[in-house]
Amino acid sequence: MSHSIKELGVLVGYRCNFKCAHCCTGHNRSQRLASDEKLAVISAINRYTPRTILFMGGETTLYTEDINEILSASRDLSGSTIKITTNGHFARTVASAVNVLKSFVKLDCVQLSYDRFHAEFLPFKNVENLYLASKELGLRFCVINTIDSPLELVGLKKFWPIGNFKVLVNKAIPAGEAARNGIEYVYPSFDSSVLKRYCPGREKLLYVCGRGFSACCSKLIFDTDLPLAHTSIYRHKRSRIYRLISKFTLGQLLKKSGLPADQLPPRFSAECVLCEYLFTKSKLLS
Amino acid sequence: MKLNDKFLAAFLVSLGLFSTTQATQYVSALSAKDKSALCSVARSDGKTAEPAGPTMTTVNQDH
Repeated sequence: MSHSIKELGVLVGYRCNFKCAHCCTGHNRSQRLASDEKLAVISAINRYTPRTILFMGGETTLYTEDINEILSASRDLSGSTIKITTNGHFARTVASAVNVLKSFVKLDCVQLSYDRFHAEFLPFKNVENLYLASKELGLRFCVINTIDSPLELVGLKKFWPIGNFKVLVNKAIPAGEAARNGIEYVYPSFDSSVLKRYCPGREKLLYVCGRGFSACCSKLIFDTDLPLAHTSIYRHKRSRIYRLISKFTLGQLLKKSGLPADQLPPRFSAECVLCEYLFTKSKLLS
Repeated sequence: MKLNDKFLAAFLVSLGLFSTTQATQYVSALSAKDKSALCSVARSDGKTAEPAGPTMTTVNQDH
């Protein structure tokens, strides 16, 4: 099977039963995918056969019905890996976790978001329960640990007694609630190598509930009304934003923007923070 | 720079948290207590972590 898209993320809705201070999608939106949006996602899956389909939210297990509707209507998922990102709220016991995971039409991998922010809402026992449930069902399991300081890595030690699984370390992005709460990963100085890099989202695409298909999965798509999303992948790949981020490095975009390029602050070491600066402070999109 | 500091800096770079220059600056500014705490994770021999990526979807690696 040929996969013309490496990965398609689907943000199925913003509803969540946690109120994490670092949530980059924000707490003030609750909508779910409309019927025409589900059809657009199904159409994209059928046309582009993504190698990976990742469902995210909000909390994905609050949208199981919508996810199953999409998966059931997709023609051939045999070559696609289906993943969910979840907060693990349902894993009060291994049995309850198994029941929820089994309710998906197809599922290959569970990504649990757990860090000091989620720990305010999720009992640590749920991490082990979800790991054991995933193991029982033969699903891959990993933890996504978002940090705003490397010292938080010390907290990874508590995962070790549970079992052998990957912990993916993610740097906090100042978007959504995180931006409102002043949470972001802190750099000691500006790293100029960011100027040689491209947008990390350009090889993957996301369907954002209420917005459309976009390569952006960060502050610009969640916190601005810039024309970053489109009704189809075909249209998005022909859009100005996609052409800019796929053709030019961030350094080249900075030059094109005409914005000051000297003495950039340490926080611009993060691609998404620099990208926000480029597209909100210049006329690159006009 | 002490060998232990170099080791810690390399650990932070391997996780994609900092560039080499940034990691050196960061480690230099850490207290001995914080260095010791981070070292206990860094020396875990395969039980640690991997870089996820800067955005929501790039955390989605093939694990």
